[in-house]
Amino acid sequence: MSTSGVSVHPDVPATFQKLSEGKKEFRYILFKIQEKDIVVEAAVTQEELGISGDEYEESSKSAFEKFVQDIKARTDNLTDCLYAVFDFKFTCSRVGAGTSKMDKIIFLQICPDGASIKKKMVYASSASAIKATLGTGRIMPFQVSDESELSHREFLNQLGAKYGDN
Amino acid sequence: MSGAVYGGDEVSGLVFDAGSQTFRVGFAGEEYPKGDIPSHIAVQEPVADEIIEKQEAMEEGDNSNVKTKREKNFFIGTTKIIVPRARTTMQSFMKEGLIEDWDLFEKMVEHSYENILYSNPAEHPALFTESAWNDRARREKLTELMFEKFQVPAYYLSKNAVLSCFAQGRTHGLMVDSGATQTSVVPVYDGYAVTHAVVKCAIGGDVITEQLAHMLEHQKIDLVPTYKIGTKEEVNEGDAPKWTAKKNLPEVTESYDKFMKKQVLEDMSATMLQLCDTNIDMDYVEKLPSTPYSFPNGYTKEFAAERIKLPECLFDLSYLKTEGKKEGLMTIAQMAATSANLADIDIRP
Repeated sequence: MSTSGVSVHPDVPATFQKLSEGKKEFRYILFKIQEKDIVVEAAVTQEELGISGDEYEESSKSAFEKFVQDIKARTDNLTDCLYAVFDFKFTCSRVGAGTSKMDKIIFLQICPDGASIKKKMVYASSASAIKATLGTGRIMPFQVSDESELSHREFLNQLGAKYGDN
Repeated sequence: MSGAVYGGDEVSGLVFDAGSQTFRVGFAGEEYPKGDIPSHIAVQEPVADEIIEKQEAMEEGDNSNVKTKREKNFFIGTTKIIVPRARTTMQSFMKEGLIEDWDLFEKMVEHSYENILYSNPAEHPALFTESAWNDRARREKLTELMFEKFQVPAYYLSKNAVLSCFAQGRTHGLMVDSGATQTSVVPVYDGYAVTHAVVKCAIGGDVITEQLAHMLEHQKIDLVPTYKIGTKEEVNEGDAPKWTAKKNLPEVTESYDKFMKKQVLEDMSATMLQLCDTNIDMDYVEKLPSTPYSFPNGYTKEFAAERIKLPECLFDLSYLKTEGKKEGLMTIAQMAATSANLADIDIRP
């Protein structure tokens, strides 16, 4: 799948399963490329995040902010690349169904403009491998190249447009 | 990643990126190419020297009247091709983003291995770029050349639009590539070029140099290429230039003269032309500071509004001053819109 020769470590689908299925242990997972494998950099549980209360009410705003902060810390203020999945809980209104609570997993391919060209190249050409492993049907992919593309409102708008009125 | 393992050694791949203006070569994983050489090659026709030919034929024990064909001379590289030589024409191996002249291309690749990369082709895997509209015959020809002539251990051909997209850290995007001979728009989806939605048009850097030449002609400025100048004196701005022609110049061909003139025009466009950030605005044009340009013969002139009006032709065809055919040409914005509309509806963002 990937054109770079980078493969996906078996831990990746196993960890992802703990986010997408069953008890949904993890809230978000960060992946990176180490040597020639895509490996799990960090997997964060709901408890570790320390956020309680109705997340659907505020559409995961505070959880998302912590997630972005973690990304910035791990990429040296956006000068390195990462892949990330985040369990986005939000509410949206649909005609006929009223407001409904939704849970969607977003996949972020974070290749900031400040990263080296080689890094960006490797992460972009390997993205298809990890996306295929996670299952393209279960994730909504996004490409991030600078901080403005990491705003909570932007993601909420896009998710709303896709899963809201239609 | 940077290298593949061949026979236990970590060796890096070589990257070749051919364009109409320049040919870029380098090592995979490095930030910049090692070499960026003009795609034009100076080809010197051999002199028909009967005496030498007969002599050679005799030495080979061949007394018949067969004339040994004398070899052409090839000159490659920025500093080599600008030397004035007799019977020498400037030829490019590229045409419309595709490789057209395989003999010249082979010379180019050979030169890159020997004089830029200093590598043995048999020891390094090679990556070539191709334009999105490359055809099967050319792909086969290139593969054959690389394996049979250069004996590369591994070889891959990739679309240049996809690679540019990856270099930006993205797998999806609408790639606008404005080159010397043409501008193309290629949608890239999930790391694949959407070839049926490619839009291209013969408008690019060369059009701008043509516009410049047109402007100079209109303003009655004589464009003297560097190679003709022997001595020159400093004169005040706008004064007639004082220069003497270089003596003992060989009789150069028209294509060489044209190439050298184009070099001056390219330098001129790189140093003084500028684009408006927004839609061209006459107030902005008036306020733009003028920039002096010194021609190789010592003549200096200030250019003001032309600086911004000339390159605008890429975005607005009404600025394009040309005799006749404008139909069939598209601006960059039109091309991007057409290409986006040609792509399947479900792959648009």
